[in-house]
Amino acid sequence: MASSARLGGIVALGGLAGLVAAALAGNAARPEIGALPVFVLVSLSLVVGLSTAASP
Amino acid sequence: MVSRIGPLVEVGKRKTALALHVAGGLVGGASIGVLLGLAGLLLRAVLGDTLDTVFIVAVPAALLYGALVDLGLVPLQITSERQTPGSWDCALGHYPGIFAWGFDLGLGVTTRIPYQSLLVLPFAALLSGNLAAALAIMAVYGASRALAVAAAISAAGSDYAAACDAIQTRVQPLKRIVGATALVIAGLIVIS
Repeated sequence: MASSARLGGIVALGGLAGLVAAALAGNAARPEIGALPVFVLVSLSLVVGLSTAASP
Repeated sequence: MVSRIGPLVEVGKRKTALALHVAGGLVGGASIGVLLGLAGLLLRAVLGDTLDTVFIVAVPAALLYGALVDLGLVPLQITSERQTPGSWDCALGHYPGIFAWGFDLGLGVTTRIPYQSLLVLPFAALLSGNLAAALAIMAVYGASRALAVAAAISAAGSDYAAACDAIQTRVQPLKRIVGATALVIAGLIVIS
């Protein structure tokens, strides 16, 4: 139970940090392709990265 | 991954080893992000605004391909059979070895590709033609992949075999989640 809570906490913190990075990159970098595509691609990076621990 | 990386953290300080693995993932992702970002700047210098048109067509198309494969609707798969060499722990030393392991996994494309949507990330980073965007896309991937491995190992205690069994049951649902996310993101890029 404690392990699951810790796992969830770490992953949630990682996700939060990733979304902050996505927002910063999307706005501060002023990419020519637009902020939204960068934000959603960074979000996809987060989803793929966090899901990859389940890879055998 | 958990079954191979897990035992490595049993030597030395566990938290230090896991922190180094996450740092390796972040540095690996950031390194390939910088390389792709610089290559993207070169592309932008050559193609100019045409690169944005290429991005808006090619990236959603690639996302659609990744989504269809990850959702199990298309059987085709591009992958690599290479795995991080198990000898690195001995050859490089314990802590440098586990850092290098994270670095290798953080690169994303040098080891086995678990989800086809993963292939879109370096492709999109390149076509973004923007160094900061490429860095953010790949660094977040490298760091989150390593963080997830560290969290899974941390939660597993020392029973890595049980953790692997639990992980096996989640592979297909997670593949579908990744595929569905890729599909939504393809749509968002098209309408943006």
